[in-house]
Amino acid sequence: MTRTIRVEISKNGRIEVDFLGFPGETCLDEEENLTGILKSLGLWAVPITIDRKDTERIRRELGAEEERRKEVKAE
Amino acid sequence: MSLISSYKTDIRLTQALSEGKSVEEDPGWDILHEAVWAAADEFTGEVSHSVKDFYGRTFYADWAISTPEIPRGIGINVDRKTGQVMFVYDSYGLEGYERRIQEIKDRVLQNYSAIAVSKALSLLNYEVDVVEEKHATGGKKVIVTGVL
Repeated sequence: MTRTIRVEISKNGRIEVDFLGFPGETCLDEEENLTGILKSLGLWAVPITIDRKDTERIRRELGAEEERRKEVKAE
Repeated sequence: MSLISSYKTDIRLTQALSEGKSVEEDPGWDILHEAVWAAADEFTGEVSHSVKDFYGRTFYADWAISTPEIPRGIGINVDRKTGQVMFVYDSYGLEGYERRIQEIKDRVLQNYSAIAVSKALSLLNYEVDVVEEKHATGGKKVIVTGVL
C-alpha cells in the first residue's frame, strides 16, 4: 500500500504532519526519521500535539485510497 | 496505526558546528539563502548585506531584506558559535513596522520549513510534490506531500 506523508506549513512556520497508510507502529519510526533529518537540515521541530488516528478514520482513509486506485485503473 | 502531529519550528544551524566545521558549511546555510531570496521576491524586496538604523548607521548582516515598506531593512544573521538564526532591525519611530517585520520573519521561516521538509522527504526516498495556497488576506499555506 502507498505510504503518504502530508505536511502543511502555516504562515507562522508551524507544521502539521499527517502520516497515511503506515501499518502498525511504522509511522512512529518514520516520524522519528523525518524530525531527525529536519534537525540535521537546521529545522528544529518541537512537537505540540501527536494524535493517533482511530480505527474508523484509518478505515475511511483506506477506503478513499482504494477508490483512487479504482479510478486510476478505470482510466 | 497512523498519526497526525503538529510542531512549532525554529531554525538552528548546528550540524556543521557539531562536526567542527564552520556554520557556512552547514546544509541549512544554503536552505536559508534560498528561503531569504524567496521571501524577498514575494515581498518585492531586495537582498543585500546591510541594514540601517534610525540614525542612518549601517550594520552588516549575513542577509538583509529591504522592501518599500521596510526601507531600513531586516537583517538575518547566524550566530557563528551556536548556529542560532537572529533577525536584526530598528523599528524606532516607524508605525506599523513591527507587523511588517514579523511578516518577513514568518515568511523566511515558512520558506525554510518548506524547503527543509521537501529535502527531508526526498532523502527518505519519497516522491515529493509542493503546492502553495495563497490566502485572500495575505500570506500563504504550503503543502508538501511525499508518496512512497
